[in-house]
Amino acid sequence: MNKETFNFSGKYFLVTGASSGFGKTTSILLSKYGAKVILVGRSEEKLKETFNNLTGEGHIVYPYDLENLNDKDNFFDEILKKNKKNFKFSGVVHCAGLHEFTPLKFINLNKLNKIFKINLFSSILLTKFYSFSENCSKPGSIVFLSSVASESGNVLLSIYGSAKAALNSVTKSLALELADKKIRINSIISGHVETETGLKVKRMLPEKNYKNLENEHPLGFGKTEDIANAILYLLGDNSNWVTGTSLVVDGGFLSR
Amino acid sequence: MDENLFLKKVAEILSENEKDIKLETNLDTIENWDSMTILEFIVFFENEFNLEIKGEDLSVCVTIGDIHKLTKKKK
Repeated sequence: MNKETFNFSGKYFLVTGASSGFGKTTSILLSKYGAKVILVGRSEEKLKETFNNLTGEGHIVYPYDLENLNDKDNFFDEILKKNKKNFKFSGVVHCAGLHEFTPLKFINLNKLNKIFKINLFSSILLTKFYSFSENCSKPGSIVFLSSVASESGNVLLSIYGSAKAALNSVTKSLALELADKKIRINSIISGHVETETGLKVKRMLPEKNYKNLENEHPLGFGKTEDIANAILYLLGDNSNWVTGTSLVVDGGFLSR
Repeated sequence: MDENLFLKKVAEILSENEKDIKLETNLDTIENWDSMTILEFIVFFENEFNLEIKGEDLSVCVTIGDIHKLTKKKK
């Protein structure tokens, strides 16, 4: 992809899960194309690592655990207030997620709440805050991170997969609800990428099973850049007529 | 990990009677021992004892005692 493909000059994007994986790569790429990035994640230290890799100035590190998101304080307004800044957000990339293997016998309400809170509830709340904040631009674009686990059965991933499947559904419903406000809502259905989470899977699976998983991706495992490029497409003007879509970026995994 | 606690937890995961699970028990003789159980073991040790065990290491275990040795190595 050449450098002229995107132009995000003067635009501000909130990226959650910005300390690693998709969020980190997306933040770096956005900054290369001129955007200012508000980096959200639990670890200030890791966010600073991402921050140090960004191009240009005016980016913000905002350490925050999205598990603490409440439905009263508008997240976007709070960020501006706490940083004494005045600008409008142009969009959101919600990469924060919780991928946890959970055998049925270990499932309880706490686990269900925890996994759904990060993967699903936070997506809905962030969208609500974006749509109601005067500090968020309309038109705007919001991109969620979903997974092939939302479309295929996977052992030990019943909670994670169902939360992501619900996210695909939320993408469609909110896209309709917010079309009048010109806020586009889309998601990426990602295949296996060797992020921190991906490497956890590698450790857990015997070598033979991990090789099988790779073979199930006709184009092999992906890189974080593969997902970040798709995210930038959905954020930018090239996708102005795209909303309510879950874009599959999986090296062919779901085509089998 | 204490041997008795370990055997109790293993029996729980395998849905076997505690009395039937001993360190010398061969995994091949356990009806529920399969790739799914291996994953359950990994998740269990990580969640309950913060032990990161590799699937590859577990898959070559022959007896319950071999799994116990793995948890001791990680301590």
